[in-house]
Amino acid sequence: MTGSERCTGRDLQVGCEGRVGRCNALLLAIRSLLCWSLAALLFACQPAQPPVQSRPDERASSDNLPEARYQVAQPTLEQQDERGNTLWKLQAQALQGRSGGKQAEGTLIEVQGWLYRNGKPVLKLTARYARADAERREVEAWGKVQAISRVNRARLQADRVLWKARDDRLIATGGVVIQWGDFTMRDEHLTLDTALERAWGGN
Amino acid sequence: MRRTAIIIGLLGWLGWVLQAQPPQKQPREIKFGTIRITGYERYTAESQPKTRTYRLELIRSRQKPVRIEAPDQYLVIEANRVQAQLGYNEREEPVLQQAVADQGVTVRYARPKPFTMLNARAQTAIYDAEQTTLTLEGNVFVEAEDDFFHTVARNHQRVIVYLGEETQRIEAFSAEREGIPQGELVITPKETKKER
Repeated sequence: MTGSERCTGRDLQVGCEGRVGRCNALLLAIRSLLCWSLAALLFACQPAQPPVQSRPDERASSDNLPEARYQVAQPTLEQQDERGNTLWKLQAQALQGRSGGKQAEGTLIEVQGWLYRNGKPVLKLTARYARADAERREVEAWGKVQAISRVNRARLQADRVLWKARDDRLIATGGVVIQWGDFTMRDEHLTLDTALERAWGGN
Repeated sequence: MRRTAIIIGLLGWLGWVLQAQPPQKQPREIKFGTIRITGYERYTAESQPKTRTYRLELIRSRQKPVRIEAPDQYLVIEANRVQAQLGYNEREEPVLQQAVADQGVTVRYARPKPFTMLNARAQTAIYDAEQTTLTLEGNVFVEAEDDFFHTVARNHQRVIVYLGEETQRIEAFSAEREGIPQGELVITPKETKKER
């Protein structure tokens, strides 16, 4: 059990590949279910709390997902640990995902988010794209990633970052620049703590 | 018409060539004001907001030693391993506050006014900006010069250079073999302008 996830979105669009007739029926059937399960499914999440026993028709839908593409406008995703502390929160312009069988995956587009430590937000980040893995408690962001620490006002920019909440580590790659006031460090690969107070480089 | 086609062709070729270029990797580098640190491969860096200092532990790369250039402090240090602390002086200028350099150390100090120049090699070097001292240890070689003297020190166990003085002040402690001092210190007065 890894935590709980929540998804909210202003607008939800579901598109099926080459099955227009069935698509409308499917859409009605799964629309209410998707709002709650989409984030978890798209990001390979497993709920932390014991899952509530779902009704047979709902379980059938999530066990065998329709082959579909999804788009959620302005979604907000977040994950809490087993004590209810927020681990991360991501807001995006859109969430694009696809599912089929038991597989589902998605990408957040034009993302702004917070990474937390001990239930407190310590790092604010923006990126073109992001995705999260709730089971691993990881967030990955790429495309002009910029982050600022709430602890020491440190600034980070990189092509890609992978945040591992369990390790309190942020792995930044590609054109990495960390700024601590007048202090600037440049590298292609750098490991940092979530608050950007410490950095480790090299092998 | 033909010329236009050639130009378009050239532009297309240029675009293809530029696109085919692998992305340039930025050099690994640390900057703090005018201080520049290069040559390291493995490292740890820590920001300490309360004291407004930055602590570094750096290990050389295969090709180059760790190199700290602090031009405002007239100092260049090279070594295989360096621990350094960066911070601010009383005038709020970014400075190298302390450095402990280890293994294959070379230090160059070149102050234009009042003129002082120093080249040193040693096993370890400890630079302290507050005390304005450079302590060199282990098979120390120093060649130094100011307006009045040229000094060479060899085979010394320990040499302390007081960098804040107007003229050079060096304390040298000789290495010993079977109780016999091995160190050599040669101080040669320079011709002053008046004597000329």
